Amino acid sequence: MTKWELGIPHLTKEDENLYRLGREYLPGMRVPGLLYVSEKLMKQASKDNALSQVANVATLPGIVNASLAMPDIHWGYGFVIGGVAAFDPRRKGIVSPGGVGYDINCGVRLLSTHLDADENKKYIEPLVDTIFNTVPVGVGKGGRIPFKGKKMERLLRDGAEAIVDEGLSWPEDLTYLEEGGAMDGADPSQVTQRAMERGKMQCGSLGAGNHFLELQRVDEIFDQEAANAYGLSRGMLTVMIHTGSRGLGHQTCDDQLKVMRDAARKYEISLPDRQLACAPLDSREGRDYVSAMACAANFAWANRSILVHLVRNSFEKVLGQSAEALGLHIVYDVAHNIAKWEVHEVDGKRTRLLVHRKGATRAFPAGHKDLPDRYMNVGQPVLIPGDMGSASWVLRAQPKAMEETFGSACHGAGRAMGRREAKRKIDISDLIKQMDRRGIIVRAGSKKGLVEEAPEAYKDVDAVVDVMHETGISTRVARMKPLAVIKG
Amino acid sequence: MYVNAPDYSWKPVAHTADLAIAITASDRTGLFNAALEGLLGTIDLKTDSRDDEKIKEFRINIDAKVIEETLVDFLNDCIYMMEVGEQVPFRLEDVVYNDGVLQAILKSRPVREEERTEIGHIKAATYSSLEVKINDGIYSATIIFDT
Repeated sequence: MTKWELGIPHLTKEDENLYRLGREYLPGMRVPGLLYVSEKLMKQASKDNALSQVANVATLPGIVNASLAMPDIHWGYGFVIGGVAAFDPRRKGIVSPGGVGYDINCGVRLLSTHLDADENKKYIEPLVDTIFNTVPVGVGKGGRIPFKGKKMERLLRDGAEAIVDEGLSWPEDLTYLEEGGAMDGADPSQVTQRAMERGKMQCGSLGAGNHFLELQRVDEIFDQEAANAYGLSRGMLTVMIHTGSRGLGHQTCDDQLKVMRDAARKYEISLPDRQLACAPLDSREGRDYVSAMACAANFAWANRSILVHLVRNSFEKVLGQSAEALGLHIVYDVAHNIAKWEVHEVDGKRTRLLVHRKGATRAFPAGHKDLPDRYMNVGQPVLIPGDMGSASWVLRAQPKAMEETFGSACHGAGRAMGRREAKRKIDISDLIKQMDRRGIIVRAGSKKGLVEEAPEAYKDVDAVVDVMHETGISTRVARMKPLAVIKG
Repeated sequence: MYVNAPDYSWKPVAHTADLAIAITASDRTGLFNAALEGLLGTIDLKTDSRDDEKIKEFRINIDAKVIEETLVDFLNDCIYMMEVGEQVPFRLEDVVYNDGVLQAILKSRPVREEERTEIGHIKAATYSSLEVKINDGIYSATIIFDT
């Protein structure tokens, strides 16, 4: 075992893409930190407070094995972004809203088509313009369908299924959504009126920040067997949607953090950071949070389903064929800000744990009972959005994810540059020219927001994916290049 | 460089994923106003009011346990007011703070048309690494906003 050359105390390099943060790094750490990063990504991660956040999570009661960080690790609030931590109720394990974040069930949905991107090049601009004019984009832009009263309650309880019943989504869509688009245990009575008020006009809207909708071309296939199962082929036009639970999720997190900070005092849980406020899994406060979080997660699945409806309508309008004929099927939908009850092997025993993924994607391998039949022999598609100028990826979950990372992988490129720094360093006209040179059409709700999301503000997504592939946690299937980007 | 009046101020500070501000004030009234102005300044909203705008006054009563929690609750109430109430809170007056309990008058004006694209850029004020320090009678804190 060698000490890492940059000399961070108690950080050791275990393997080419694995670093260990020893328990001596911070008093109170119950388990070590394990970071799945290359040396280059480790150098980036060590520039800010990301390592301290990995260590802080390791102090929480009932944490199992290690506080994990994926290769897109970066400094967040509370939990590190790219963080995974599992808690055992039998060891006084906790649930923490800080381990999920404000944008509960922020996630990614990928649609395939029957269209060859090159053969349909002339339709790309009309398509992106039609979608941009149809999908509410940007902060303060609400959805087109109000959800209030009983309709909102149904949405919170049943998630994407409620959108199928509205006639806006196909019944078979549900098969290809993580959790079938609705988490069990969602109790709308745990969601405040304030949260419902904040979300009532936002279901079916993209939002701002790093949320996007992209038209992409499958640029390269790396695993033909998995690509066949996922319905992807080289040259195919695909659609990727990245958004979450909007204001309803933000308010739910805020409301529940107030409960949790009192709960942490009540149960005498020592916190290295107030954002890690938590409650025991077997407490009323802990159970209530999981119920409220499930409602917000369901809202997010419903939100992405309405966006798919708007995308399908746009394709029909521009191409003059039905969405069915155009093959606009869901490849998969993943949640990357969530906490879920799952069974994992701990010390040789199958154990029920609450797995927090904050900027991390579930990655269940072939044979897992929660996978749709079509993916049972290949494993779950792991969707990794990159920055708007480079590429996004589809990976294939491998058994090693279950062995080492509680069935988890990375969730994106990860930010390399702060938002203010991006605004200071990047000129909007240069960015637009750069995107134009790359042949990428851009439509944005806000120029300021676009600069914050410039490719230079992100790490190299290929380097992040390389770590997942080389460690065998999730392996490369397909790379998609952006053709047109809609940003909030 | 800090922005604002001599008795309280705020400045942006670096953060990789989100947005952060550092605030200082000579008293607690100033601390809350610095946080409010920092929130607005972070999303380029003005703290002024125009003659043609109807000013509203809200009596607020925030009941938390410690000043860090009061600050976060106050800021998140302001974010909610902007996003749902379409009002921009711009000044806190008649501030009484005691053991986590904040009572004050909050003045607000309507969201302006050109500001609509900015409202909602910040999801919430977070508790992350938040600690109000007092050195030589000066209050200071760093607040991270989730974006």
